[in-house]
Amino acid sequence: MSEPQEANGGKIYVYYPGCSLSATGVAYDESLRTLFRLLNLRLQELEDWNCCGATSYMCIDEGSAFLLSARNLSLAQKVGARELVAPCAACYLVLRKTQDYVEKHREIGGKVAESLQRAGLPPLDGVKVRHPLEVLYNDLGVEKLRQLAVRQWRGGRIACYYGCQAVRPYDEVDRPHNPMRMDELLRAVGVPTVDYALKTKCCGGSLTGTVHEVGLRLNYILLKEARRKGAEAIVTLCPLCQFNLDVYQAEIARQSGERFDMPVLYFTQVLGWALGGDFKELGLKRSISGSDLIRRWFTAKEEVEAYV
Amino acid sequence: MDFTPRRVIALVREGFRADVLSCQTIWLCASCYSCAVHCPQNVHITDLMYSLKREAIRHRMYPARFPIPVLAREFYELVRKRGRNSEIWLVLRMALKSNPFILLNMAKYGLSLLRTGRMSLRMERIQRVEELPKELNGIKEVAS
Repeated sequence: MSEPQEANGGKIYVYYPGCSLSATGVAYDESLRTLFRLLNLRLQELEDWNCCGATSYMCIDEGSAFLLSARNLSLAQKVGARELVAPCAACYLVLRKTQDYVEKHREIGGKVAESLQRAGLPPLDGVKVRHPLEVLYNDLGVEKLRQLAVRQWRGGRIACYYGCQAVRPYDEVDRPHNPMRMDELLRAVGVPTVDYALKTKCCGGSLTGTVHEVGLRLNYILLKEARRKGAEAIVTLCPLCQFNLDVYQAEIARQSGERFDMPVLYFTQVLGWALGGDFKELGLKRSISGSDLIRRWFTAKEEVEAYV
Repeated sequence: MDFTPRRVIALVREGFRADVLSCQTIWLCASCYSCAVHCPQNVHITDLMYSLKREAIRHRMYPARFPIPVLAREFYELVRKRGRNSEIWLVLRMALKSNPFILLNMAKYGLSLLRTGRMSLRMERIQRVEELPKELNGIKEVAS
């Protein structure tokens, strides 16, 4: 089957949202869709996708964890896609790892092929797993983004936080030790970013919900360092990172006696704003911490137009 | 963390099975793969931690009522049954089966999540559950 295309020949990106993007990470979904629309890139949600299994499923049963992701990859192939775009870092990694292990380990590959056949789904044939950061960086490019920006940034300096599973252990989204692509894209649209040494340190993922104190401690360190580097906000590429840094901020402040109230945004929200997206469609009202600052930085479209 | 990761590996090598499988350290590994990209010998430490977690689950040797393995089990059940995970229900089930006090702390966040439209109470499920391969239930473990 040929790749899904629009009538005018434009490529369609098949999109795997994952569970977070329809609940706690809904702002990521909204801003991603808005950004792609503003860039004239088409996103099409993968029909009837299933959970990626994240890190938890793998703790119980490895073999069937690969089958979960194989079903998603196979569904993408069924609609003719050669690529699948996954914005959540956990989803991205599980899909990417499955693709890798299926190719590298014959036993896993054999099991996967067998079970897909039994379910009446097409066998895996090298669907490429992609992250939106890398799609924007490689398919669109920094220069193009610079040309397309229509708004001037009136906010403060930003710490780009890459977290763990999008940049590790695979190096396709960005370099594992010193990723810079989010910084490059943001700077291209005029957003100043700071040198943030903790950009790849772990936020603890689901630890904030299980061993709360440990999770909070990890996020406290991330917030404190961002502040120390002069950042007024943090930008992430993962719904779990955003959740941890945003939602628990008040509790962290109470325990540490330090004030933060920093906006924690998705890179798609900031880029979408630079390209002319509006407050609501970028999910900017969904942040819990730093909402006053967000309102000040991202003033409504009409106000900006009157202002310029 | 009761043992350092280096110690976990040393205990495995020397056959201290019960000590390793009942420790907390393996569950505190959040799969951030930091060790994996730093190890000069290319040891797949994250995968090793996963293997130990699975052994601990299989033999029911994980620390009792420790929330992390409980979360993993609940997540697994939810996905196997419905094909998707529903964040809020997962947290509820995890808390009820490990430490209900977690909910007291969580409750105050529920309100702000509701207010910002970030909490979905819908129980998600895929349409074609029958497509989930039957082996999801009992595939043989494959070494990696």
